[in-house]
Amino acid sequence: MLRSIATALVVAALTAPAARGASSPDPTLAPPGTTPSSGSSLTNPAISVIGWFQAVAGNDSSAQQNQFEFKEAELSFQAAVDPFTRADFFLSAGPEGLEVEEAHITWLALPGGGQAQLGKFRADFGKFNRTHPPETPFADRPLSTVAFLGEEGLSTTGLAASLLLPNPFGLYWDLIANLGTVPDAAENPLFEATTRSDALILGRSSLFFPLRESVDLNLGASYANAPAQSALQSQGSHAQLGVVDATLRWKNPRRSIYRSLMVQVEITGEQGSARGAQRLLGGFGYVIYQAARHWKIGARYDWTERPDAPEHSSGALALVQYQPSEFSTLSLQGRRVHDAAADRDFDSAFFKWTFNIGPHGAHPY
Amino acid sequence: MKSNSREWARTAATLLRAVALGIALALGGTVVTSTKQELIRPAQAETRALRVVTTTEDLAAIAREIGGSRVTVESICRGYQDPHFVDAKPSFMVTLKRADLFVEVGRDLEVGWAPGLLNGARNPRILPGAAGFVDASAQVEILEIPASVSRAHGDVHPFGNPHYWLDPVNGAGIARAIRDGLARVAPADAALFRERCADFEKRLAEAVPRLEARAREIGITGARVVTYHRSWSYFARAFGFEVVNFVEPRPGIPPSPNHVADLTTQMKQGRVKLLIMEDFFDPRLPQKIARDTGVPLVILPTSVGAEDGIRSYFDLFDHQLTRIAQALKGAK
Repeated sequence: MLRSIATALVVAALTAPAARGASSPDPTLAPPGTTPSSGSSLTNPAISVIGWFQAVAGNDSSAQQNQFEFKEAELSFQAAVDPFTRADFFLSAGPEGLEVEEAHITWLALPGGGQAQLGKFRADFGKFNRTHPPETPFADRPLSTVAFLGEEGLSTTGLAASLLLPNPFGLYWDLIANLGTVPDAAENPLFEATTRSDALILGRSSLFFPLRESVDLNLGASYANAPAQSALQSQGSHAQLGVVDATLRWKNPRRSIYRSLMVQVEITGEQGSARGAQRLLGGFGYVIYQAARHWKIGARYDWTERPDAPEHSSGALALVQYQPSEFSTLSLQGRRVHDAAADRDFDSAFFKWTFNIGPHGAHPY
Repeated sequence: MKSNSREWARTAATLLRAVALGIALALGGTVVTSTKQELIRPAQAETRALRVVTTTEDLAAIAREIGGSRVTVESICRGYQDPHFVDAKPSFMVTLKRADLFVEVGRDLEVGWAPGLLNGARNPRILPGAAGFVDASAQVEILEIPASVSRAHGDVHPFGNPHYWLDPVNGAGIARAIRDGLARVAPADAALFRERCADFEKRLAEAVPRLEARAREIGITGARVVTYHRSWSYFARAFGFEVVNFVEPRPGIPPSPNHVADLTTQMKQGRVKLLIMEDFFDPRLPQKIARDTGVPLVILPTSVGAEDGIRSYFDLFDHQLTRIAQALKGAK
């Protein structure tokens, strides 16, 4: 009987938890049980802005036009459209004006375990291409991606669909197909549409191996095909691109915010559609090591042949990165590019500072 | 005329490619649905164990209490990990693709990784708003909801302090949210889940006064305490001690030398009895502060599974209080 009464008293105490405790009230906090009040509606999309300021010095005039540049302000608007779809908009404002970098609707779960995207998006071509320029660790883009995909990377407007492929090992194995517009010839060095019906066809598959709790490996292969630019028509009516990529990550889950390592390699090949057409190769590899909670160091090596020049280019970059918080990153970078045609080295030093405001976004993986 | 014909031919070719792509995807989808990973229909859910995926081990432990043999439970975050910073590995999407129920702590604790995993899992049953999605904070009283949100205060949680599982009283609210979620996805077993939840709540109600008595006995109740992060507000409320300062006053921002100096002075002069730190932070700075001030440092697990022997929600609090007792005893 006494036990029942004691239990009842405890249950009553549990239902009145506000009466417990010794914490003093904090004037910056809203009264318990309330939700944050703000002028905006809770149904508004998540809005955030990433700013990218960059300074450069050195004898490489192609590295950046001005000594100091506000390279980009990337605005993003992201929200669920309804229970089945979400929409993501990324607008990029920079010295060249405002442009839509990505704008797409995504069907999250189609019958059969599929997903589909409709709109404009950065193409799933290799691992690096999907990352927006302010969010890469580098002040520039690797030489091979510029040589084959253009300064801003490969984007298209159209349809993308993906599937997770079943396999006996239960691994993550995806298959992605894109069908979209051919990118503008001014924005890429290979492709050019001559008629409205020309299309960029692209496919990618990637496989993720969780080797250990702290180590994993991601392997991918991508292929793209679209009508070639007129200057490349001697190699065939279409240009074909292929890339293989590998990403190895290490992070101790017990100290996840202090130490990590990422190694990524991408090798790109290009060949026209004509029999016996010339094959061009390029690639890059980089290592980023997190040495302390707020510090990372890294290095990258580039080597590439170019569709617009007979000689290859190579280069190396080293960086030191400091993150005062999760929302701000400063880095000092040094780069040397060897121009084989001129048999000359070009050196640049960069200071890159990116920062973002708005809701906490997803940590990219 | 000829160029028009060519244009039409190319348009037709593009459309054919699109149709081929659609057919390929549909066929691929058929392959997928023909495997064991197919969508779970209610009749199937009744004949096999429900797959529950939680973000943390604490939620997993409570889900096992409520679901019993009707569920298999898997946690994405291990008990020794910082739940704010879990890598959204694609392999977790495969796990979530098969889930019947997803349970998260909520209040933006997992905002850096769970939404990406859910969006990539291709599982409509567990998306927010679906029957298989459970926000475990829904039936819990949340502390420290900010009146205004600014990153000037660090990486604050705009929807309140999400570390609510560290008050054993809140275990009941978590259990009820999971019970309701399980009942939604397996209504035929709702009575079983209600019964098991009531039993869990009864055992919790019996454990709480025992834990409170133990806290008083070891001398933590009524004490002035410094903690590393704002993880311990609920734990402090549960066991009646006062958190007077933090090593990291603004979440995610390293403490300034001035703050460390002021904190050291405060701890020397302010009758601070204990310095508490989560087990996933680097202990070097708290260890130095403890040496400089003579205040004992205790490194506590924050979740089930953080150490061998912490297998249940009840074990977690027993283990934490034992550690505190050892630290306070060693300081005498």
